[in-house]
Amino acid sequence: MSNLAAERAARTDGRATLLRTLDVLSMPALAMFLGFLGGAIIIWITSGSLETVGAAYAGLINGAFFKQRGFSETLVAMTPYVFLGLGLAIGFKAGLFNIGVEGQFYIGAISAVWAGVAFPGLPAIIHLPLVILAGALGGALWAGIPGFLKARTGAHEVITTMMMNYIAFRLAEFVVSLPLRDPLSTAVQTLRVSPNAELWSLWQIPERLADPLNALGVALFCALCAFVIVRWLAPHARRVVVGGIVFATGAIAFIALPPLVKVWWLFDDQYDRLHIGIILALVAAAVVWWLMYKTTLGFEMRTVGANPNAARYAGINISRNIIVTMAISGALAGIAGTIEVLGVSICRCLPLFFSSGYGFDSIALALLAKNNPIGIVGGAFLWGAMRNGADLMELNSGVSKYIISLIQGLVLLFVAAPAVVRYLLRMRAPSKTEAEAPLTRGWG
Amino acid sequence: MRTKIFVFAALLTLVALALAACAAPAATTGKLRVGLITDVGGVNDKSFNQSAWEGAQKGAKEFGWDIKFIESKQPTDYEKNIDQFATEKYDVLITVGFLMGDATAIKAKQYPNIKFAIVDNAYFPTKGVAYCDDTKKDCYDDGGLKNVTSLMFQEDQVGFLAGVLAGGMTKTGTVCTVSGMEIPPVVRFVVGFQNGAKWIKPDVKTLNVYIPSFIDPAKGKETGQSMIAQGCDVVFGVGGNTGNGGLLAAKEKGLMAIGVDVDQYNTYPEVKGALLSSAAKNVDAAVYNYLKSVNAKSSKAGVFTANLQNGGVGLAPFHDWDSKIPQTVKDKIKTATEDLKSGKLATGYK
Repeated sequence: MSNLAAERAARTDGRATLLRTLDVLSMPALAMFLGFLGGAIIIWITSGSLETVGAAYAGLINGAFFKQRGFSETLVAMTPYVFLGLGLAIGFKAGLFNIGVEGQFYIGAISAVWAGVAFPGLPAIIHLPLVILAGALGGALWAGIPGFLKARTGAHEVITTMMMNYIAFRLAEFVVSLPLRDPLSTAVQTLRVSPNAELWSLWQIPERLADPLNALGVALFCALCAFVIVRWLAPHARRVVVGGIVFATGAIAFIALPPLVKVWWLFDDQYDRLHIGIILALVAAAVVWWLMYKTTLGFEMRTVGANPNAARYAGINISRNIIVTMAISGALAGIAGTIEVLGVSICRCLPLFFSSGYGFDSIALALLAKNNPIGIVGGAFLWGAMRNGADLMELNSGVSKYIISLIQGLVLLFVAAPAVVRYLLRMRAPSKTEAEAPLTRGWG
Repeated sequence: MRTKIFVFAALLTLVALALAACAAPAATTGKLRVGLITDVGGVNDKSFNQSAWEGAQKGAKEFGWDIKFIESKQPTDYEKNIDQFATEKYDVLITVGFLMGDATAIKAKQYPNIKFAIVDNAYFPTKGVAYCDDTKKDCYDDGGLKNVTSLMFQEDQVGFLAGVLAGGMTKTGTVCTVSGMEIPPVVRFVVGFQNGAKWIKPDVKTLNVYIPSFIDPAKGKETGQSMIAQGCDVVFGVGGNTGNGGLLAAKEKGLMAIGVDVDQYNTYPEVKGALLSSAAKNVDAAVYNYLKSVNAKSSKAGVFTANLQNGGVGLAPFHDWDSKIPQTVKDKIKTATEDLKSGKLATGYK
């Protein structure tokens, strides 16, 4: 009898989880749906034919997923979105609207290029982490300034980060045109970073792993992942066991991976631009999730975001929290810039005029994902797919690729105003009060 | 109820997406297919990209080919956009702009069966450049860019003529250029312009600012205004939409302006009252002639330079200003044109 009851309880529990998940997913999904519907109507009205709508969306899907290198390009476009979305989400969670991610993206890119140029001859195992660190540090410092100003003087971060954007753009132009300029190139661009500082393209991996030092780096990375996974699955495992598994993973990776990828490797197309940044992005999402939900710092950040007065009463240092949050947010944005320069930019350098628009798109993305790191990965995938598929859409149907921004804008509108969606679809308002913190607090 | 609606919406989306994916038309006709990739300026930039697109359209229409364009949103898009056309099996690709040089070379080597034409970029063997280093004699036949035609312009010649016009018309003795990014074609215009102005009026003062963008008319206007404040009364806008901002600044102050790339009297009528002329480079004609040679199966790899001698560059008509420009200035322009053609006069660009 009791067995039966437990089983039943477990079943309802499972169902409740499923329903809750569906519930969480429903609003973004509906917003996406309505966004695309709105886009379709606009294409229909402007082109005057339903066929164009079909051709446009067919091109979008084909370009994003099915055509040659389409899927890789989607992942390439998705990578910076993940970092930027995470950066924004951390800010939002702590009640800060970091509108300056675009500028921090630039500063990250400059810092990374500087670190990549300044230390030629370092092996990749040191140089690659170094450039990423430099990018993160650059972004963190740049975002830390508005954080400091807010903590000390109360200057609103929306204003200061936005202003810092323009300073960042002009600073980037200065650095590209003078101190770091490549004197041999006719184009205005920085020097090329050392080959060891480049982010590896996936097709290069067999070649890169042939160097034992690189193999060691990858082995260390695998061992670290193994450590995290083991600790997560079996938190109380004995130290010896954990150590053994971690060491074994590392050793196997070090010995077996290089010959293995030489024999068989999925990516042999040397024009495929997919690079290891996507792996770093997934790792970053996991780290941010851990930071936000499993650490004291994350708890404090969320508390400050939910109710600063309660946080202060509970003895949380608000000023420190604001600065740290902004710095982490900026660091993530800086890594996004680093990855674009070291992995995608054709000259592996920062050209003058490197505008991306990634930063501003990401604001919509973070809102769509409700600041959930897993949601951000999903949303970034969608955003990347749309950005990438838009070209083929334009090519096949003649619909301007800027319709994508319009669809994203509609999605944002519907996400930001769930009441509109509920009204449009005649849905009941949720019975419980929404247990969400306000996205950002008012002025002053 | 809510769940049902959600499920319904999700299903509807899936069906719509599936239908859309099935409806994908795979048009394969015997016609040649031409693709054009613009720089970040876009096909409606009132100057350079627009002119290339017009020339390409004219050619495609005449020879009955299909033609499409993709606009680049950012420099990392160049490669991807070329690839979009290439994987869709296009036959001829036109890339517009110096900044697309690297991407075009790399893709041209990847797709040796596609013909490429690049506007404004010539390839020279350069140390350390992977696709054409300094061990090669030239980049085209020896260096492997056998399917690439570079369409170049001697902007310094027409820039010189614009400078003569500006130097002849200035009352304050100061002429200025609102320039885009500091890349060779822009530099050629600017250097030619300054030397032309000095040729007709040795004590003329020249001002110039390079703005690192071709799509920033606000900054162009601001720069134009600050140079006007320094006494400049003829503004030469060299740099797509950024330069257009400079023209607008001159128009609003009731001063004189000179357009660039195309006859901007037609493409940018808002400023026509101020427009003395335009330093036109006939990108449309160059692209059209290239397509004509493709049609005649006589297109060749290498550099094709348009200059005063072959009519590829030249000053646009004076339009409304025709009666207001003194005959002496017109004569000087004529002399300069003849002397530049015959080589008696150098523009000073090296």
